[in-house]
Amino acid sequence: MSISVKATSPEIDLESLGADFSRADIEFEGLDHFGSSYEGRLFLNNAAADADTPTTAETGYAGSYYIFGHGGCFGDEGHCDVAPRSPYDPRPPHALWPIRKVVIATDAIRRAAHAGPTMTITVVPVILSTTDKVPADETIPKFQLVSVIAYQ
Amino acid sequence: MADAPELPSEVSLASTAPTAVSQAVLANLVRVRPSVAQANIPALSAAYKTMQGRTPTDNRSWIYWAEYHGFNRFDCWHHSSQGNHQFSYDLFLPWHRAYLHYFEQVALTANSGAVLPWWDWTSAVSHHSGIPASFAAAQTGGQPNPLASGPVPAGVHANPPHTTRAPGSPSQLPTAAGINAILALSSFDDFTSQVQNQHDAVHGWCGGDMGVISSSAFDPIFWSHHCMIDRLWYLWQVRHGVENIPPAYLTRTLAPWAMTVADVLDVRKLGYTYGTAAVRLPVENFAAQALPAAQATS
Repeated sequence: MSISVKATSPEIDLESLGADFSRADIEFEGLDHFGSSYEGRLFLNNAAADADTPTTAETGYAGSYYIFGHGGCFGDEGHCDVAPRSPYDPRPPHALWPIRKVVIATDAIRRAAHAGPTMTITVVPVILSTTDKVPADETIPKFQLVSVIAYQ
Repeated sequence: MADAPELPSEVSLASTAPTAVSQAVLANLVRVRPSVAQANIPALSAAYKTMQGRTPTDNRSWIYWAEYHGFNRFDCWHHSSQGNHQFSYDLFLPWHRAYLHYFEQVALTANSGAVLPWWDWTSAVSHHSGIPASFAAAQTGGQPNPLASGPVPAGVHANPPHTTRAPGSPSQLPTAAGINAILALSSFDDFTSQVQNQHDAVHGWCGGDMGVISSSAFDPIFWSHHCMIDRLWYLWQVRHGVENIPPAYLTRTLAPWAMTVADVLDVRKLGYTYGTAAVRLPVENFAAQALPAAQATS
């Protein structure tokens, strides 16, 4: 079983997104998917949110991304070590290469923009499935970068 | 008006083509993958039971085919990946279309009626009952139900030696409204990203072995879940174009399948399409009635 960790962003300047966007996404880059499967619930301006918080507009819920995890390592030592391939290596990327997820959150970000000049994003992971091959000290979520992107 | 003449007793509406040609026409019919509710469940069960009963080293066995996805081959594609190439590409939809196609050939060989059905997890029935009843019942006819559980190799887990599930609340399954919003997206990359997120959600909702990549394909519901995903791509293609995909994808190979992305864009070229059900009416079943001779008009 993994250890769920709530993650809250710093304040994000919403004015920099512009006022008249037609779509706004929250993008996660470099997401780890080695272990448990989980739902990453996104709440705007609600750092107190947890797994029991209703997923409604009133709580700042902006959508969820879902990780279909590998369920831990089923090979020998080194089997799940991810490394870039050589340009001459014809094999597909390692199956655990970090992934990207996009949550279309237009309405929620628009509500946040109407409420004030800044917002925070809080990720609340809810484990859906795991195996006995997932290390007990694995923490979720793990990612490298979050972007908020607005489109005209 | 002239009376209708009587038909000769030996009249036939059947094509006059040679028997071999007629048989080939029927053999080349495009399969209609039905909904689970309209599926030939006895045939599907028989095929799965046969495959599950084979030894894992038999290349027609359940374990042999499930292992392509997760343990122990991990050939599956999920999510976009930069890899060692110059653009981010996502072979999730085409790779799984090819995988289903190969798997279905094996199932059809085990039982000719075993066309893969799709599980509509957005339906009112699913939002009430969750896993379809035909896939949920632990037993059928006093025997283990081959649609409820499949064998797993010891490397996944030895006890029990078969798949289990831990489904969530049916109301938490993806909604039709949410899927319709995804079908409205016009960019392939946008569509595959969002539909894959719903795919991931349903895997997690099923829980147990379906909940993780390593063991999911050993569960019989896996194949009908992925038929639903493939059908959603088909429905998106109907709306936005069969060849609506970045050109750089087209020559990508879908290893280990001997196919490229271009090979799997048109489902009819793979011998199937999607409907709710199909009713086939052989010509022998039609009633023949002679009509009155046509009257001259001048």
